[in-house]
Amino acid sequence: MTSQRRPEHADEQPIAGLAELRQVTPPAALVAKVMTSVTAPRPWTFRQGFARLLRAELRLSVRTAVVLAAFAGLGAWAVRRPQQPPVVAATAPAPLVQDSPAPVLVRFTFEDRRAHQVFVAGDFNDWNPIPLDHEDGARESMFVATVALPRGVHEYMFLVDGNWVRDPLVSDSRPDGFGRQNSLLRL
Amino acid sequence: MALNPEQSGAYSVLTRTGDEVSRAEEERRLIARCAQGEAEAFRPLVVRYQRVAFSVSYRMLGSRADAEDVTQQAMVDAFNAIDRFRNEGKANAFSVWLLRIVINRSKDVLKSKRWSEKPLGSEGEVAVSDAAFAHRPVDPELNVVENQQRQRLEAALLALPAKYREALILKDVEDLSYEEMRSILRLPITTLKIRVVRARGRLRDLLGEPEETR
Repeated sequence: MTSQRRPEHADEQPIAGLAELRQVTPPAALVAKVMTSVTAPRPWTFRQGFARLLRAELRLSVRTAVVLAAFAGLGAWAVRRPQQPPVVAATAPAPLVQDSPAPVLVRFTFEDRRAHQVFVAGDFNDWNPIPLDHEDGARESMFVATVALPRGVHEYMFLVDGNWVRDPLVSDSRPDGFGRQNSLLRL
Repeated sequence: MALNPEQSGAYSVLTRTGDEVSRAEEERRLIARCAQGEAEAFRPLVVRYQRVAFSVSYRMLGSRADAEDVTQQAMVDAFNAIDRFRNEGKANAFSVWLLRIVINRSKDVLKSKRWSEKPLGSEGEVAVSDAAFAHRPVDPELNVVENQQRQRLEAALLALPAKYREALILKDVEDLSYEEMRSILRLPITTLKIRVVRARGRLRDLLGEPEETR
């Protein structure tokens, strides 16, 4: 094959049929996935945060008071009801309780040393990603978010640097209709 | 098969149609809005360039799943860095910039998967006929012979070393100019021309084309 002599300048001409390979149809959900990623809320940089702090100095004091009061109320409520665990880890589903209408605080965790931005999205928030943050005292690679969810079965995914990723610690899953699997959380 | 014009390969996506000026101006305005944080202005750009971006990564990687991930991430990268994008008065500047990101992302995937660049020896033709595809869309309008030829071409293209493959994809598949390729791959035009000619030669060897058909 390679020993055949090729006519001079033959390789200066394109190979027939190569241009046809251009006819590739991109995945139908590509645009939606990109737009979901670019419209996801991004955490403030230090500079942005400091600038906003300066601009809203007066409002900040009111906000701080409101937030502190909310935390105080939440703390008092938690102290009065110590028998009820306030947070359920997404990776350790609570037993199914059908008759309790109260929402459950679910703690989503995701660990990856290479990840820069991690969000969680699911049917509980119409797939609008919620950012996960680093937790004080935790490892740099650990991302955490706590979300109040109604009881029931929820589908969710992590959005890691723009890529949809299943919860690696949860084996329970359900097809998403696009050829992949969503993680399943039963509360 | 009827395809969405934005997705079809019927014309070059790199803004070479008749209304080039207004299209470039529209693109410039969209990019300016994106740079101001208006994410929704990015949607027309994604729609316009998803075909070429996906095609290039798919031909580089040979897997639709990997190509989808690379295209998605490249688009997000482009949006996040769009305030650093410089048009420099070129009509195709954005598409060239986006394709550079796509190519670099694709190379990262190739490296991470340690897809070695196989030497092309005497077993080249065997490797082509035995090559497997992660995905090949079924097109009922293509007959069996055309489908087989397409398969052989796809396999042969994937068997090329990456530096030849990227040159051939941009030149012969996507029909870009050498000037556009220079901006994407950041190589001298002379080098690119040599790579394209060598890539065609290697591809012809892999395909085992009879001499009289060339």
